[in-house]
Amino acid sequence: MIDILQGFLAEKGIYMLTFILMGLGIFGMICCGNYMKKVVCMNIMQVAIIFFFLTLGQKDGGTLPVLVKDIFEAEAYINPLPHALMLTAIVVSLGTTGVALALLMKIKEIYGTIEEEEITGKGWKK
Amino acid sequence: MNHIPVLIILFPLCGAVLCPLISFLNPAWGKRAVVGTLFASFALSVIQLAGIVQTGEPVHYWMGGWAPPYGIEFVIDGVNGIIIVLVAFIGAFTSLFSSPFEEANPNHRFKSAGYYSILCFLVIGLLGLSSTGDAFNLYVFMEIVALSGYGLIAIGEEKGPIAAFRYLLTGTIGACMYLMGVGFLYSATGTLNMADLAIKLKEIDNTHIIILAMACMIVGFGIKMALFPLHGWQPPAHSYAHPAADPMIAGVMIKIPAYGMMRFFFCIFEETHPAAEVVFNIIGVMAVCGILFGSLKALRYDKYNKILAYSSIGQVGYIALGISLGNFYGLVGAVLHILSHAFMKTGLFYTSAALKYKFGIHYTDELGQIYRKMPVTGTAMVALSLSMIGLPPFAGFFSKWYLALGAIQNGQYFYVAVLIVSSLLSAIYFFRIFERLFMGEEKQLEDHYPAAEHGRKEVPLRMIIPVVIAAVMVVLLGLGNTFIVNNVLEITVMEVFLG
Repeated sequence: MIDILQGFLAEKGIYMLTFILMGLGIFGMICCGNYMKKVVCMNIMQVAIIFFFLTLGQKDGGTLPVLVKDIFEAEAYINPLPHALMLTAIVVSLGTTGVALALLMKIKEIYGTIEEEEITGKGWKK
Repeated sequence: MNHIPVLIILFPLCGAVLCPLISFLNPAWGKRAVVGTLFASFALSVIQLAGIVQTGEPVHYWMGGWAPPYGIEFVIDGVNGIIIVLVAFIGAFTSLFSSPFEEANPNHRFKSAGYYSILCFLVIGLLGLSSTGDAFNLYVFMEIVALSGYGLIAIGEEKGPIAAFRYLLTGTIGACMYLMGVGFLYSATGTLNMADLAIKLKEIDNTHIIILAMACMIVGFGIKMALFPLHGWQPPAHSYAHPAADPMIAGVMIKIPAYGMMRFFFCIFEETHPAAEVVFNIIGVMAVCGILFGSLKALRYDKYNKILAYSSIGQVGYIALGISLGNFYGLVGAVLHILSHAFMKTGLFYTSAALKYKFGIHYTDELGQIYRKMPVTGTAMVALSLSMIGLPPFAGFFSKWYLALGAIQNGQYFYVAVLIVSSLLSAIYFFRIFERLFMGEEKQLEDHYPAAEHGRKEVPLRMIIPVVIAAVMVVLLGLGNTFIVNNVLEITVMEVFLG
């Protein structure tokens, strides 16, 4: 029993955790009433995607993707491509967060608050 | 090597980056840098399309000379060649159109440099989105589009920042879902190049991962194109965006992800895949709900922009309907609708912005007898609205006609009924505007920017030209639709999507 559980966790556990993290992020974005908290949850979701990609690049017994003396087989190295992709994704998420914070400052200036309920009360709906 | 595909993007990129710097010295030249580079990229895109039509071969451009499965590739065939021309065309005229707005604003020097720069980035993103042949590169361009879109929405009217913030949250979920889908595909195949993905996916037995990827793509592209249950961000964003950039945002920004969706479902996933039928049915249900919901909801509002925004939800539904039909006529209808709706909605938002500029009109009940005061804008408004309803000489009719043909070919007569009902509904909400336009009482309207106008009757020439061109293009697309379908779409749709 424990063996099965261990095998399952070793194989799929990290993906489960990543998806739970992503679900938490989306849940927070939907349910939090405070815009700042929504931005934080958005970041959590983006980090979950980054984790997902990074786990794709991992393998058992792989080493850093930098050419080491005497090791010439590709199998001995982990896949560096997901890391390269995620560098771009991190930059994009940084940009998104920056725009979000700038928008929040503007919203605070106009409405005097960043609580969704108070803003909706001020006639956003129509 | 032919460098046109990358120059189309590189020119506006230079313009966008240099615009704030040049504006620091001379604001007028900063604007001219953006307008000039956008027109240059439009000219190049026309040359490129002419070359593709002549040779009949798609153009492949390898970034930095790295060969495809490893390097990033731009692939331009007949379909996205046309779409690139469309984006560059509307982008160039929108930049021309916005200049009176920016000049009328006080202390415009630095603000308007930022505006032109962001508008230019939006066009760059859309051009890249339609020309790239790499799945991850598509994500990056999608985010460039989204980030510049947030900026343009936020600098609009008073409620702009909140509309932009909501779009930011939803749009980020969409982009992350797309990235997730790419992750699944990458884990299954180990490649990111679209042509390579298509080959390698054929050899994969594990259908679960393909279904997961398809689901992620539907959500990702669906949010970006405002498909029915995922449309929540769209109406406020389209009604509160910067009025001059609104034509670009409403007309083009939601169509290009629809093209991306077509590309994914027909070029990468096989349309004969066992899961594809279910997926197409799901898209079809979303499309039908969206068409009816958008048309019904548009009846409710008196605000001109809100009516147009909700009608966009319905119109995007038509494109999704074409995708879900999945046969030749459906796809031709979808591509033709991308073109015709881009001109119609852009033109209508041009008229809306012209009304805002001249008299500060936001609501339809202020429109009474407006055609006496602004004859050109009024005429264009009527022509474009008739095209939206789908009356024969205009472009809107023919794309719906091809969609109906596709539905009949598949034996799905329900879709034909939906097309007719929604056309009637759109007739109702556009005739409500006509009623106010022709029979409403004439109101005493004051010029919104009296200092800039000097008692002129119409809006400035720079705004009239795009309005007229949009209306003329709708008529030309309608009259020349057989030419486009027979000479370009027939061959390329068969080759690209169904080959």
